[in-house]
Amino acid sequence: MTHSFGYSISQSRETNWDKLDHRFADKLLDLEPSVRLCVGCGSCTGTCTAAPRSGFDIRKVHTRFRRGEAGAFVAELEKCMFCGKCSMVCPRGVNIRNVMDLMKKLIEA
Amino acid sequence: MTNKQTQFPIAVIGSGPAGLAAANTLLALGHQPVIFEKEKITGGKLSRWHQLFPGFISAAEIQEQLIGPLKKASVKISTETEVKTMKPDSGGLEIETASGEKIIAKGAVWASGYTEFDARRKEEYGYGLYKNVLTSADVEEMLAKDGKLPFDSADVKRIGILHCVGSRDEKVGNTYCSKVCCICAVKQAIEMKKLYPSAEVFNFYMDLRLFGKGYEELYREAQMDWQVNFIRGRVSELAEDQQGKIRMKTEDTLTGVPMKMTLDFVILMVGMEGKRFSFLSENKNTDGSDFISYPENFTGENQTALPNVMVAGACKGPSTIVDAMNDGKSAALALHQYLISQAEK
Repeated sequence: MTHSFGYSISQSRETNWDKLDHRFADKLLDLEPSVRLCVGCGSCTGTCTAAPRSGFDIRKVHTRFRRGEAGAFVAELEKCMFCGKCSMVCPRGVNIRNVMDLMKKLIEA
Repeated sequence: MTNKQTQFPIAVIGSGPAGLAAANTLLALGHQPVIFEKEKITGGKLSRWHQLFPGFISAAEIQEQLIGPLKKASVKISTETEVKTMKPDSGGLEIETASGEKIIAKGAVWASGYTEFDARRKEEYGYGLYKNVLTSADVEEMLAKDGKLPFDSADVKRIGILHCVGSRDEKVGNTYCSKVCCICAVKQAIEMKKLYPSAEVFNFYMDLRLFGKGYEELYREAQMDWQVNFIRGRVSELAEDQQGKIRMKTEDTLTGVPMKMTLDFVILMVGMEGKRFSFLSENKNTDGSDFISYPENFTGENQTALPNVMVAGACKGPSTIVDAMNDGKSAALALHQYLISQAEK
């Protein structure tokens, strides 16, 4: 017989680099090397058409993808409308639109 | 205490980049400088460095360019001679060394340089306790001496480089930025990738302050051509495991998640600290640092409390080698102009 006391052990919210699967991230870096140049400025999220209404944060999503948390936000990727404004504003010349496309394809594959 | 008095035209205190550049300029202006160096060897910190950012020029080569002309002109460099104090004298300036020797000079350029932050003061990083934690200065010395580090490439999978150790940190009493560590960290990250091509290199930073010509380009090169990872977050602690590997904890602030990682070795980018000399300046720096304060008035930035002593280089605040050399030249010219104006009176 199991008893519920109304609390449980919370899941770790920590990024443990040693345990994450970096294969998706490595593949992304291979296919679109310009993503290495990201400085985390947030221009992409700032200009994003989808961001204000959906809370979609392309800067954070692709950073987490690079950290090896590929599976964590499949639903997030659906919010992108592929307008490409992010690529137009990026000061480091990262092809973010392609990064989005690749992330979706890598997860779906 | 001896009371020996020697007549010297112009004294240069310190044989680092600023002092050597000042001596070269004084020589070109027709003076006969004499250099006093506290340490056994000449060159200051430059004598311990390997390659210099942003162009990977050999430090030994730059030192030779600075010392060569002085040797040719038989400029005397007194090593192991620490200058303790200076005061005005009817002959110009009385300089007293730590051994009690008194020297009379017409004037002096003071370029005593900086001290490296003692990384043991950041106890949470375990420098001096963990064998796989080095400082940026250790890395330079090892590379200059042997061209390699004491880690077998088969064992090295991840290397961590920690920015701002002893800088921008109230907890160690240094609120200022040491200026050169960011670009030095980018340079050393590339050197690590050259030494350990299959290892991953991670730079942990608060802000990247890459201000100089060619620095931003080197950062880009590190990201793109050398696959160096830059993670924004100040490392909160390091711990050694049983194999001697280093467990790192930080926040990956760009994703807003705490992060931990095992590293094979860690380099701490140590900052610069100053030393006050009351006979040169009584004023305190606004940032609370102990560097020699100088008039921050754009045109008199080499002046001290003594009219015939000019101050130059990293003893005034964190400085690159190029900036220190240019400041040395500027101090030499300022002293030259002062001596001419006095002779005309």
